[in-house]
Amino acid sequence: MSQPLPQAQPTPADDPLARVTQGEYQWGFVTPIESEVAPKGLSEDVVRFISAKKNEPAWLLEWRLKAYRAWLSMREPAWAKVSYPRIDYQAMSYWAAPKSAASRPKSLDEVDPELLKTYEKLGIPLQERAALAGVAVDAVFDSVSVATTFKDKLASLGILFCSFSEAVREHGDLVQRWLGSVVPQGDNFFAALNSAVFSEGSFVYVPRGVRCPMELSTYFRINAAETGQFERTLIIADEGASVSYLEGCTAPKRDENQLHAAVVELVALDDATIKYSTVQNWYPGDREGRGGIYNFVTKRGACRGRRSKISWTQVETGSSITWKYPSCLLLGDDSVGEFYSVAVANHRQQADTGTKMVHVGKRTKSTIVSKGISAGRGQNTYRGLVKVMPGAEGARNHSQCDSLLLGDRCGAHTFPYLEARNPTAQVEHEASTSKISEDQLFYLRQRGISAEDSVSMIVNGFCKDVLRELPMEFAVEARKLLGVTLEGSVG
Amino acid sequence: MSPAAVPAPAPAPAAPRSGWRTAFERHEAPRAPWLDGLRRAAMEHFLAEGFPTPRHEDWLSTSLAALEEARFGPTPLAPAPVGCAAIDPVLRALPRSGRVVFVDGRLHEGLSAPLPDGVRVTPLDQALASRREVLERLLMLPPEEQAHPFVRLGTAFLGQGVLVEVAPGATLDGPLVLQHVRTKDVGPLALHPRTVVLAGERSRATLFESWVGLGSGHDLTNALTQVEAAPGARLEHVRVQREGYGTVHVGLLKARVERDAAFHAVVLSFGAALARMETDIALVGPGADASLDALYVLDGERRADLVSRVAHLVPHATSRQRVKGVLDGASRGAFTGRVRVAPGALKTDARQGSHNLLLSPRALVESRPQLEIDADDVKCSHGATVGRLDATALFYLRSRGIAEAQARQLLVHAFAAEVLSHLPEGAARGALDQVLAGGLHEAISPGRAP
Amino acid sequence: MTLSIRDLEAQVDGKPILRGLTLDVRPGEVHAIMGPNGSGKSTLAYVLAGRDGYEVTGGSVAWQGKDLLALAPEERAREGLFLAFQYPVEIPGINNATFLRAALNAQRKHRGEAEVDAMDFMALAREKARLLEMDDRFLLQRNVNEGFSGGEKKRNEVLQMRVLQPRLSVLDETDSGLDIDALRVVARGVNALRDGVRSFVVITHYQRLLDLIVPDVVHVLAGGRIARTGGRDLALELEKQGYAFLGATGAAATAPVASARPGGSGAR
Repeated sequence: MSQPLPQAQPTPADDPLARVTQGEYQWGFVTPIESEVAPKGLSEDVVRFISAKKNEPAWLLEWRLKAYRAWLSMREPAWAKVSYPRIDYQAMSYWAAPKSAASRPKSLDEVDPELLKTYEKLGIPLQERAALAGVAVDAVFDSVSVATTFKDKLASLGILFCSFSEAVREHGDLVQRWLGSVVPQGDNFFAALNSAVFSEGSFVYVPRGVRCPMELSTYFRINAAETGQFERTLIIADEGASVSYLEGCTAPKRDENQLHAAVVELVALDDATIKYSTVQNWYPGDREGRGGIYNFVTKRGACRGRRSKISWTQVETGSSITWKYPSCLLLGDDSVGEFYSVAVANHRQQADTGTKMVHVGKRTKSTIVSKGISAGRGQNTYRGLVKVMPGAEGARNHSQCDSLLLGDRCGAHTFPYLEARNPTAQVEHEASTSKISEDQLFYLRQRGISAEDSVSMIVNGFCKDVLRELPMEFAVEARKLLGVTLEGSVG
Repeated sequence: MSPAAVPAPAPAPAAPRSGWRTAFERHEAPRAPWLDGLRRAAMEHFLAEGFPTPRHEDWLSTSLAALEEARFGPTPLAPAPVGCAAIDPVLRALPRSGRVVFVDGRLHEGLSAPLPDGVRVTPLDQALASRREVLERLLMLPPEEQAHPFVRLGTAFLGQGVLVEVAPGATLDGPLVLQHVRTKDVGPLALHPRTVVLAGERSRATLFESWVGLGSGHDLTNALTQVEAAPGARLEHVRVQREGYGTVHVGLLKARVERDAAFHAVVLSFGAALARMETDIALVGPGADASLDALYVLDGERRADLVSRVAHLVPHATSRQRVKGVLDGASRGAFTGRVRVAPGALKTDARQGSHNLLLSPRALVESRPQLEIDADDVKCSHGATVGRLDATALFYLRSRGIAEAQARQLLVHAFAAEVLSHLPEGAARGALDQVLAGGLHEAISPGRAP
Repeated sequence: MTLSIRDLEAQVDGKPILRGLTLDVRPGEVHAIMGPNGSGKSTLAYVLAGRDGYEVTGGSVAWQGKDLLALAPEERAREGLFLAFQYPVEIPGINNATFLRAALNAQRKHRGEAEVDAMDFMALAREKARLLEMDDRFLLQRNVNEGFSGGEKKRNEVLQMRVLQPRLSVLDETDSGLDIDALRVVARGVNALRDGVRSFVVITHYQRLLDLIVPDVVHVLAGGRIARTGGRDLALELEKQGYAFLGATGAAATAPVASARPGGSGAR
């Protein structure tokens, strides 16, 4: 992929707004680990190579090949309000693994200490000290899952939480039954690509009636250069089960763009609840837009069961381009879908993100709260669809989309689509756009709070309805991240 | 070249849209040779591109497949005189208005009534000669606006229409009505009238464009109205669409609003099989103000597709949009409303609301409000709702002894009439109230089950 | 000298509002500033607090020996200057207690003092709130001024004043929109801060506030300058006679009164 080379436009140093939105990415280190990387390019052979590397069963290879063939006939979507140079899908590698992971570690003690150090730098509670935080972690480094904590404790409850490859090996029937059931191979260009070449990810199954006692968490890290990351997450909550799942991501600073095309599928059966939280902090590129991750992700949950509930919460501060619409198919009667989102586009970042809520079952309910923050030359777009099908008697939706502009060279765009085919449905959408209030800023400063802290407080206040949906530890992290991401952008 | 030369019995797939080419060759070109190049280029573009499919972002709810190979007859020469006032609710409600009447696309001097002082109306073919310097500028639309399929057709088939000039400083003492009547049985007919309205500096005027159809044939109306509101002008522009239920009605309005001018567009859409009503407003001077109040009422299998595009190109301009839909039967309605705030258009205040009432389980409504904002010191908002009649209100009315059917009508009317609440009191608003009540009464029959 | 304003001139949107205002406030003093609408009272408050858009075009303001006008708004606050806003700003999403603790700690840090932790802060804030008849709801459950009634907003301003303990408080029409009971509560909060060291500039239209917060000096601001200065009785006189002595009231803002600066009136 080529590099965008925009004009340098330094912001005056005495502009406090500028100071707040010009922070540096703090997670940009590279871990010196030897990697085994597949030859560049994509072909049936590469798909076979990946499948063979992972010792996959024949059905999965066939499943991948079907996806690859579908992908060949598809075109990259162009409707999002993002622009980037053409991606050469033959110029990147679809498989990278730390060499030491070639023989998979059996426990944390066997994990490459360099890797453990990396995760420590990232602040991930990978060690058993994580017990204090009550978080079970699966960590994905480039394409390979390096460690999963708390497996035994979870296993005693019948909860399966492991890397995707392990799930294929150990719980093949479950994987085969649900893989692609929410996001089929040919769903869209990036999902098809992922389906063909996905390398790793997490798998969760919570059995009937079990409430998972701790947050499950995955940290994703792209380390190797010129690779894409294509992980696949599948979470199934059986009848009456509930689970809260967290996902965090970082990547090193590199001048070239890297592709991240993940797929997440959630399945909630009768009375099940899944809460999926993301703090996405992939490398956003530098101030001039060089480098950064292209985050083209398909996330969708199916509320198959009656009274089931799927709740997406995302804090999107990273990536140079975000293309992501975590969605809910509300199939079961009385099922509930929620989407809470904070998206930040600073410097040259572009975010086109939102959700789809498809109401099929009776009395289904959905809530959308989206907070977009644009700073620098960032372009932030909310794009959403609320669709009420004829059978969705008494369906309800409420959407609230607010945009905050910091600076006069950024953009905020809102494209909600409402489609209703049932007269008993109630669909409501509200959106507003405004700049950060001078009155509020002055009021806080008059009380002695610095301009930067004032902006940070106002932004946090603006995002509160979303941040409070995050689990406690994550909320703290997200708040800090918002502050850092916008550091240097205010006035 | 001509498709007639192709010896195939059926329309040859190799020459798509041949009916359009034939019609173009037969079209009575205006006596303005300077336009020929523009008209031909527009036609060639159209023939090459055709109509957009519903896959196109701006045409998601408009299926035009039936028009591709349509064959429309020539405009009849001597229009049948009809009792226009009797059939047009706008004229019934505004008996003393100045009026200009078109019957089946031709200006009908005999039916027209004297105009109020301060306004001059010139038939387009005369104006193309006498006011060329003004029209040339307006007819040469910028390329991005030319690219619209119906603008292309409107340009290719230019000929009918009027130039309306409101003198600077003039205040018209009553509304001016441009009435377009389609009579029955003149065959499938495509009309492409152009209306150009120049509201002079500090003038005040109310202009109605009323479309009435008596037949049920598969006709096309492709009306394009261009408005320029000079600095300080105040113009209310009302479109009432009551075409026959077989007609495709495309009504495009393009307005430029200059410094401290106020432009208020009202759309009431009741008729037609498919109505596509677009309203494009560019706010080009500081202090400019634009409002759009629109209502569409649908029943049966009918469709309406309302589109608005409001561009804030300068600082300190305001816009308000209120769009309502009432849908019954198996109808489909859509509203796409785009507000664009250009870089540097600071202190913009733009609001938009879209509210829809679904009365039937088979109806479909879509709402696509869009905000594109590239300036920071702005206030923009939009809201959209879809719902049914409020059960509590219905019960309340019934508990006071009002029959359910009547209670429903009252509530539907209350919902719909809100689009008129922002018009100033006066003859125009009174007339619209009557038109609205009549249109609702016809479309939403009182006996219908919930 | 605590505050020393000399020949201050300021404009808003290019329109001159203050036209050579001179005023001194010593430690422990309470100065009332009265005057007709448009005379520049609120402008003075905003200029002192450093609000954008209030452009100083002449004169000086010394504050405890420093050039006040050279400081950023938050620096002025940290140096002990507090503005009780006429229209306190609503800030959705920011908890009232969080905000006030952040402000207190910013000021303490500036003075080289240790930050106050959440527990100690709540104890302190509760104590300060009690006098103002405000309960925990205001501190813990509500966002800054969001959805507050007019009276609640003004009480919240005084609560902040009591927690931050400023050297100089500028009260900009704190009495507007308050009924007499609320006014008493607010005045009690302000009076409790009077300790012979802290100073106050009370901007008001009405004498009634000055019955409750008794000033040492009363000034009449007209046409952007101090037109008259006197004791408490001046306020009573104004209450009876209005601002008629200034000449045309509305014109006062644009036409400075020639006799507006008798020697030593503003500069005590």
